[in-house]
This record gives sequence, structure tokens and C-alpha cells, in this order.
Amino acid sequence: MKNRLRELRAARRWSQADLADRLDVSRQTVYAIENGRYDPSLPLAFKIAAVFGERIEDLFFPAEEEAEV
Amino acid sequence: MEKSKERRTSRSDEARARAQLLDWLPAVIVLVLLSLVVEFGLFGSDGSWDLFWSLLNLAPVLWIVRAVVRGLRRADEYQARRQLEAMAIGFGVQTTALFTIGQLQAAEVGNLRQLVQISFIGSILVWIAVLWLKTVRVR
Repeated sequence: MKNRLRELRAARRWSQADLADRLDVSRQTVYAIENGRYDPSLPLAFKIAAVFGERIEDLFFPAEEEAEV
Repeated sequence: MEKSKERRTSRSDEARARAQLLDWLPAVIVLVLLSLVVEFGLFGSDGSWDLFWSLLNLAPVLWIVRAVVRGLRRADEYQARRQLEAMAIGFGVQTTALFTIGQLQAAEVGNLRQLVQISFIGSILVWIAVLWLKTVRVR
């Protein structure tokens, strides 16, 4: 699974720890999600979408779709 | 500067670390006190009360089990998953070691008490090592 977390976070000039604070998770968790090492649960994905004001499907997409985007 | 800001721990991490410390501290203090009592043979720990003092170690150990469970519930989903994976590997090492020790004992090879202690400490070290290895790349 790929995602746009790093891009959206950078646009807001947030550090990983800033985003972790907003999501109430550890910084390691944010790092793991950004780097595709961990796919978040649906509740956490909704929380991430709410923090960025985006829809989940605009944030996360399967790896094979990356080339098409 | 940006790097240090990026690598700071989150507020939830700090809260979890504080809670973890408070959970573990009483058990560690009691374990140290019990070790001192037994080591110096105080309060009859080397005589008629040795069974009582030996079994008393179960209290802080159970407290540690409680602290581990609470830590797991407090962890976020990614940390909880990593901890469970590490625990599963540690448990696998422990059961394999105990089985091997049982076989050795049946063949009358080795000192059971010593081997059980070594396998116990070893499996905890494996648990910690696996947890560290699984999270080192995301630190």
C-alpha cells in the first residue's frame, strides 16, 4: 500500500512527531506508515484522513496504482 | 535542528513511557529488596522461612505480567503488533528450550534448575532483541 502522508505532512510543515501528536500514536508509527512498512487499521486511516481533511481513497492506494497516478 | 525536531518523541510516546515506568518501578524495587533479603539471609530467609521468601518473588513477577499487559494495551497499533511478534518469538524460544531441557534431563544430562534459568533469561533477551530489531529501522 502506498500513501501520500509524507507529501501532505511536508506541505503543512509538520514533523513526524507533530503528526504523531495529532494522531495520538508514536513517531515510529508515522515513520512506518509513511515508508510503507505498516498499513494502518481502518480507524487509524480515518483519523489520518480527518487530520488532513482528505478522503481515505485520496490518501492510500494500492502499490500497482502508483504508476497510473 | 530540523533533524532533532523530526526525531523527537511524540506526546503519546512520552505519556506511555511515563506510565510504563510507574507500572514497572514497584515490581523492580520489590525484586531488588527480596534479592537483598535472600542474599543476606535476613528475616529467616536462609532457614525455616526460605519457602515463604522464595514464593514471595511471585508477587513482583505477577506485577510485571500486569505491567506488560498494560503496556501492550497502552501501545498504539503498530507498537502492539511489533511487541506481540517479539513475544511470540520469545515464547517459541522458551518452549523449545524447555522441551530440549526436558529431553536432556530425561537423558540425565545437565542441571535442570540452571538450564531453566538460562532458558528463561535467554528467552526474555530474545524478546527484547527481536523487538529492537523489528523497530530499529523506524527509529
